[in-house]
Amino acid sequence: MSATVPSLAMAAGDFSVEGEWNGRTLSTRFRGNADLRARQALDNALTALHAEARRIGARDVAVDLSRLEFMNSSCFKSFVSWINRVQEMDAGARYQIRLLSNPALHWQKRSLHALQCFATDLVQIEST
Amino acid sequence: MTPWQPLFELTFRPDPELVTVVRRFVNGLYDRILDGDAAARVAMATHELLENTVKYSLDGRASVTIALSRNGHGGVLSICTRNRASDGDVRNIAGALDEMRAVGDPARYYQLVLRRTAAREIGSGLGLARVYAEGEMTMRYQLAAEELSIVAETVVAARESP
Repeated sequence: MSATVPSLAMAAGDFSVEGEWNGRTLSTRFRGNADLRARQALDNALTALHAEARRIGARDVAVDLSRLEFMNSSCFKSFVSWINRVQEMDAGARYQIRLLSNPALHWQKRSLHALQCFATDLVQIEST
Repeated sequence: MTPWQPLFELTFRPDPELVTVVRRFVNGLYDRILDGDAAARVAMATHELLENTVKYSLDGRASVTIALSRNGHGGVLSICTRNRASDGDVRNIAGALDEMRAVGDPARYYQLVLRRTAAREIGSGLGLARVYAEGEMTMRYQLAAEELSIVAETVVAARESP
């Protein structure tokens, strides 16, 4: 049984985020186009995601990007900062990050690989 | 090699929404000519370079030219953006390109910039690094009469015939 997490719901233009918690995994789905117009909403979503993961003591956070058409460097920076915040947590309190990618969206291959290289111990990439 | 042949040229007043419109067009256009990965790299680089013009153009105007020099099953693709820029922005770009050359390895440079930008509160500084590393592009700039030109080039493969 999954429950929607209201604090993770964000939208800006054709960009949106929603999230749910199933008792084991905190999941978010990013959709649309993450360009300059979406930067603040995306940044707020990742800040809320981090806060929620810490509040509930999540061990696993899944980020579904399979319907995210594009992400610009400003939004990408928000992901880098979020992962950096997880890296800075005490080792025992950190959670794992699973990025769910869509092979048909070619930009994801290189961008997500860069995130994985940034935090090899925290970030896994899975294809949908 | 055949001479450079501009395939796409646009002069406009870009805003974030128009940058996305252009990126989608570029992706669609080059997806018909190049393999999907190359088209995505070109679209991403076009988006990042044009967003920089949105942020930094002194008069709000910018132009983008994308040209392809065909060579057998592929060629060299060039993206050139132009806009009026302040001295400070030109210095920042020159510094970034100098650092790319000094580090040499694109992947190592990218991780260096990612680590540095993680702690930044304002701005990402990632756009050019992304074009360089993810776009697999060499980059240079030129300044003439306050107009800044940034050129990004990459080797591309043509789309396989069905």
